[in-house]
Amino acid sequence: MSAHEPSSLPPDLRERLREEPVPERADLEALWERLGSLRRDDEVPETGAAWQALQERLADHPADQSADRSDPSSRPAPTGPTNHQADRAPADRAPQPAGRGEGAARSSHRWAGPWTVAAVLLVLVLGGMWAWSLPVTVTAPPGERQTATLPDGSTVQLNSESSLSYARSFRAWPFGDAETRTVHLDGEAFFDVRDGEQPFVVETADAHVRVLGTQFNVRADRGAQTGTRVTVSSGRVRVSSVRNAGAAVVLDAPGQSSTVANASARPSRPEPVDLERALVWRDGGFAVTDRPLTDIVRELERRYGVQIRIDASVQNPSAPLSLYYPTATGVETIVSDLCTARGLNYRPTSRGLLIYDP
Amino acid sequence: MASDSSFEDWCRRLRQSDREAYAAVFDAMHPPLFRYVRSITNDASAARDITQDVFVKLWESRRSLDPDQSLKAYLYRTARNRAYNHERNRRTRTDKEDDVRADSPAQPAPHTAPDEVVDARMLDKRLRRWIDDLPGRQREALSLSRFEGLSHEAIAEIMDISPRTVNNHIVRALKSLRQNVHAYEPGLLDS
Repeated sequence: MSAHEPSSLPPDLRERLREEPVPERADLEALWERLGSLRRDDEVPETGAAWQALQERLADHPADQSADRSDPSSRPAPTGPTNHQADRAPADRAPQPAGRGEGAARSSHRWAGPWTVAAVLLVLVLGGMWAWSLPVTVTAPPGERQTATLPDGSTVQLNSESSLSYARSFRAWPFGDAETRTVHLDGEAFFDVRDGEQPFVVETADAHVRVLGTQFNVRADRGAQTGTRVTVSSGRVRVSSVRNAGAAVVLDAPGQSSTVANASARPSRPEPVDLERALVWRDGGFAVTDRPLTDIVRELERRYGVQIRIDASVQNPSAPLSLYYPTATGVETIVSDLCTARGLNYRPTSRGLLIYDP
Repeated sequence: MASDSSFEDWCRRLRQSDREAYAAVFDAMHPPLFRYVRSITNDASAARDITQDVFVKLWESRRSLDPDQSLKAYLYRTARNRAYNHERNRRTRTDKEDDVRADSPAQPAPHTAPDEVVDARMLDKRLRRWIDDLPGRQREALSLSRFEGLSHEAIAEIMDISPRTVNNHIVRALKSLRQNVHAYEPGLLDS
């Protein structure tokens, strides 16, 4: 298998591995390939949340507190309004009334009982509110799909390896009205949104999609860092990046699609896509258009929850290919077809499937 | 990953306290820096803090950034210094605790997944643990090369060693992982 060296091997390393005996070298190269499919993003904090935490930290920073010119969080964002709560200036934080601590200390002896009770009650109430405020999460594991109904009656169909979370009743706290119906998506989902007073917002790592009752598909695979793709089935949605709400794109015709490459990118110009193909996953079908074999394999792994390896003997694994299955089809059928199309072969292994050049 | 020229542009704008450039650098570099620090510290929550420190430091020293130096390498080096400092401090404190953690068995995968997925995940989990168990420099060189896609030259600059040594670290890392894989299931790498 070392006749065609894996393309991902750095030149220096490839050179060095030539010094190894052949069987060992093949092993080391196969290992290098396998490491490439190692999922390592489990622990990586979500960039949006990490950014927010950083903003809070910078706002708290004593060195920057007086010299507000050098404090990024106290400057108005040049990109227009954002949703980062932490973008507020440090002055917005409620200062502690002076002398309050003193008074409490002085009377602490006499009032220890009532104060303790009050403190316990406060903790209980805050704890209850905190528990209430934990988001609800719906997850579809690899190889499965999942449908969920949201508190407003809207429905969401989740593709494999995707998850959706939202605040209970869309409200941050048990009282008051929600201003928006906000859900957070990692992965791919089709939304059928009920008309409602509050705008419905889908947040991904890259984009905000804002609607008022419509059907649309959002795809945002965090691990793959391929951005967020929004496709409208009916109605009207507004797409903007997480950090640049000003530059928005409106999709208002069926089949229109836009991609937000990352959290500060401008959404791409709307372009028409084949709706049936874009939504075929909802019926268990599978469609890819002009995608590299490596991408297709990754997509199949996600959809069917199996491991598929491309052997190093396969030349040009990134050459594009199109496939279309309008109805539910088994993974082996698809792999078999794509092998036929490319003159390749496949066989089952202990872990899944291996595609190779016979 | 963003190109070198966009890093040069960001570096220039950062020197003028451009917040948008700061956000762009954050977007591009937060995940890779976190993974890198995590590969050194073995502790996700410490890695989060350290990665944040790196960006705080970047903002504080934005005016003294050298536009002729690679911003990316600067960030990796800052992250590296802090991660090793953290490791040094931690080692003196909680050696035993860490040993216990490393020996605890892997968590069982959720039983809802099909068998193949469980197997693939188990192997992933084991590979990650074997990588965690590699000697520090080997793990570091392997992670920067395989997971962050840096060239041997860039890694050499960050780790302050020669490209040849980078190569040796990676080969040694691959060899000891190979031994682990063979002990776990011989033939796993055959095709």
